[in-house]
Amino acid sequence: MNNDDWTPEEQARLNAARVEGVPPRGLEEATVGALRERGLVRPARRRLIAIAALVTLAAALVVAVGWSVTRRSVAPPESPRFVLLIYAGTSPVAGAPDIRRREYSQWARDLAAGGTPISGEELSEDAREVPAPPGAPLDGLLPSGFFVVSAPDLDAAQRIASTCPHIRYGGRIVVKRVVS
Amino acid sequence: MGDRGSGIGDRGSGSGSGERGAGSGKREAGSWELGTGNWELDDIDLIRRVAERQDEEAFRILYARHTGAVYGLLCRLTGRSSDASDLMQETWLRAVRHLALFRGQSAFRTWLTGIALNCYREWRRRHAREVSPMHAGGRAAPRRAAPNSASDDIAAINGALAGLTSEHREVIVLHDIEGYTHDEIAATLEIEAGTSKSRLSRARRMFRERWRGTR
Repeated sequence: MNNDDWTPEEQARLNAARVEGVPPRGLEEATVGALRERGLVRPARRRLIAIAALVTLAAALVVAVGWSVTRRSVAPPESPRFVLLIYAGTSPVAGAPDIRRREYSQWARDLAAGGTPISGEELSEDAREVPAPPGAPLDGLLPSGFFVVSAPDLDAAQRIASTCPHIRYGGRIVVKRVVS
Repeated sequence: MGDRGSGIGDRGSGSGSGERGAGSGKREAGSWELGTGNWELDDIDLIRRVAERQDEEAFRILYARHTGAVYGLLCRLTGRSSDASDLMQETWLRAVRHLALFRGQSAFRTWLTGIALNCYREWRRRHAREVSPMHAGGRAAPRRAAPNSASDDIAAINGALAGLTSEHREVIVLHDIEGYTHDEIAATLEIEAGTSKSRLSRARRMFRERWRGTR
């Protein structure tokens, strides 16, 4: 070891600096746009038709299920509350974040308008673990958002969660009752 | 309050990394897990879809899986997020154009990183005479409070890197952070392996001075 070499502690800290970057939000769309211009990617027409059909069907289902859910889950203030923890699926959730964000907000607004009390927040990627574990901190999958809804029971809360657009994007939701 | 909710989960577990929390196996009593999704395709399947069918959805999944790691490397190398973004886009354009050449002999991310480094090499040729505003004057990064967390530590390292010349920064990044050998660096930067070694020695001295100034 000469004077220029790092100590083991310094090398460990340098290794820890090999972290992923957070690309700017517009980069994905800019890249996809450039690929489309060159004919390197395209949304398949057949898939678009299928998606359009699915969206129509989903909209009809959401209206129907939403009506039935809200009929059953329009809850008085003392109703149990449930946390809907938002997780990625086994692969990254598809779709542009901005579009999904708008859809999720609209979904929550629609529920609220139907009489289901709901609130929620998106969580940032920055996280701290206490006490700090040895090695890489927070190397697991963490929730990236949550909703809190009032519902008569876990089944009703599950039905509400099943209408969240996050599911359609390949994400997962864990529903847990708030103990109070 | 109902209009505030927009929590989204767009961070996957990446390729092969561990997973904790939802879906980690044991399901707690009284909890529900919905929609395991249909996103189990591996990189090879996705690449085939993009190459053969120009499947945009498959590309977006590849993008989500691999951009963060390669973009992080480009940020460290260029020292500027705007340049890293341009290079990242160029990397994807080249990668998709040449997807048919990917034989799966290495991991897709390794292949993509190789393309990114080619893009970087061309970029540095074009910008050889430019001096990054971040290291104009060659001053040490401003002294900060002692880092007390991993993210502070990373910020201190990035700050110290930003104060180096591009020649010094790239050997530190490639050798000491990314783990490349001198032969690999020589091939990437089109220099001799001996040059890489001597450059690293000088770079470490400069870097150490700036890094210690932040600790």
